[in-house]
Amino acid sequence: MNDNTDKYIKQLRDSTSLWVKGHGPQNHIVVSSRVRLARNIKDVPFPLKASDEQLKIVLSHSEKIIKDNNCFVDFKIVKLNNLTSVQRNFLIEKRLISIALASFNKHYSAFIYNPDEVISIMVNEEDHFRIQCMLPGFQLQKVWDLINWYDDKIEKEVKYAFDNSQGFLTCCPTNAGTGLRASVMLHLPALIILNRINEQLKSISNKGYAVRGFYGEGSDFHGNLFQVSNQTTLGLSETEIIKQIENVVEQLINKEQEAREELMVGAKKKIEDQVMRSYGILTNARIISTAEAVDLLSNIRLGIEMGILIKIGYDTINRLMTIIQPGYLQLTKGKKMEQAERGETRAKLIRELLA
Amino acid sequence: MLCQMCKKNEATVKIVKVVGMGKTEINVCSECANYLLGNTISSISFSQKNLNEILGNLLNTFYKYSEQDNYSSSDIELKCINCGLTYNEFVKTGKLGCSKCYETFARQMKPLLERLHGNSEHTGKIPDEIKAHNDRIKKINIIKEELKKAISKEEYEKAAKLRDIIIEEEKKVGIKGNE
Repeated sequence: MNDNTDKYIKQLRDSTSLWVKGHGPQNHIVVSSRVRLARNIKDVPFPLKASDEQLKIVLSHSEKIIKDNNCFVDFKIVKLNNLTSVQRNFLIEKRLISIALASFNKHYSAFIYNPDEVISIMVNEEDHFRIQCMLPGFQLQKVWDLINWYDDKIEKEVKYAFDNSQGFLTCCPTNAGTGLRASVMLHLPALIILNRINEQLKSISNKGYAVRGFYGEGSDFHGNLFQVSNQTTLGLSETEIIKQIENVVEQLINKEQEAREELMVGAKKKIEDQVMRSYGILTNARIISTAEAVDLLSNIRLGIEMGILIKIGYDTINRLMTIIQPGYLQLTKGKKMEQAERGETRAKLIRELLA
Repeated sequence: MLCQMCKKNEATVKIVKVVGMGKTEINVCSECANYLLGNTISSISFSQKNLNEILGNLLNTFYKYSEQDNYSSSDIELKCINCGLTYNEFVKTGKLGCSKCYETFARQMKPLLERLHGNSEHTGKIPDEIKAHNDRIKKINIIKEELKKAISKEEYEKAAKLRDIIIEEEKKVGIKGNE
């Protein structure tokens, strides 16, 4: 048992990820920018086919990388087999690990992260390494520069599985080549109110990009939040992929901006009313579900974005979006809770933070 | 009809993915459908997987299904000697077992990657070590061309020098000279 696991989880519970703080370019529409790289060590089978001994080797490599390299001096490593299901859910909700890593149930899976949680590395997920970098607002190029720098450092320590023609070799051929997935999370309430979102999403998916909800994998578009990401990873360079996503995002930002301006001219009172009613519910409700809270928080965010609510910051909204989720709530309270109890605890937490 | 994912239960759900003008369909049982489509946020479950990737995988599977008729039976029995993954397993899961699988299933991978990405040639980042190796090989090939020219012009002294450089450079990249 890693003695530090509980300590690290408690630190993560109380810490605020940099993206949550919300200070970034275009943060009135873009919540966060993220890039992840899929990497594997040469000659070692991918985790799905690796033996325990081989998985152990990958984990030891990871431990050695962060121990021996000055660039990783502040990084911490947490092994998954030491974690309870609540702790695992909490880490998914904090956007530090994937559902796949949490559910893998293999020994020798781990995740590595730096103090502001900008860089995190999942070890022995579907690929040996899934390196992630996330910053607040719209700054995908900066995210790429940062992750590329760390990728170079790791590459100096291990030999990656690579082929000149097929690029970085990954477990799933959908990631082969660059192994890069870039995603940007946008808040698009005005396009929803004006019923224009579908045409935008259709145009994006027709161009071959994926759109998902805030909670990723299969979640609905709660909170008017949309994550746009690339699907093509082979045949384009990393900077070309980044540029393409930037173009798609810029187009969405412009459309959302136009829609907001229209609303401010034609439906200002209605929007104000919607924002203030949501504020009223959130600051008074005694029981609330995650889905309802997230939708109402979206209205509060819109209120901030349009200058209607000036006392609340993006950090408060981002923090609430994260900590009101079931795993986070239970971890904060230090006990398992049924849905009804979670609803009460959630409502209380929101009242306290918005007061 | 049997579920095309697990191949155990009766297929009761049809999932259609629309990409551009084309669409792909798969018939699955309710259990696999739940798995594919995931749950709502109020009940994040560990059985959820990245929908995007799964659909991508499904896509691979479809291609395989649609193309299987074109393969000889020996293709389907293909097995990676490094990790033991069979071609059929890959068709089922869309996941490869190791980097050698890319070579083992090379014939199938190229069209698959082309369909998934619209391209099958990597143009992005190259690890430094491999880049250095590639640069050396390029350099050797250029000198080999010069050597050919020197021989054709009967400049034997120059040719001998070039040959020595080639042998030296080939040693560095681990290619044995053929002297």
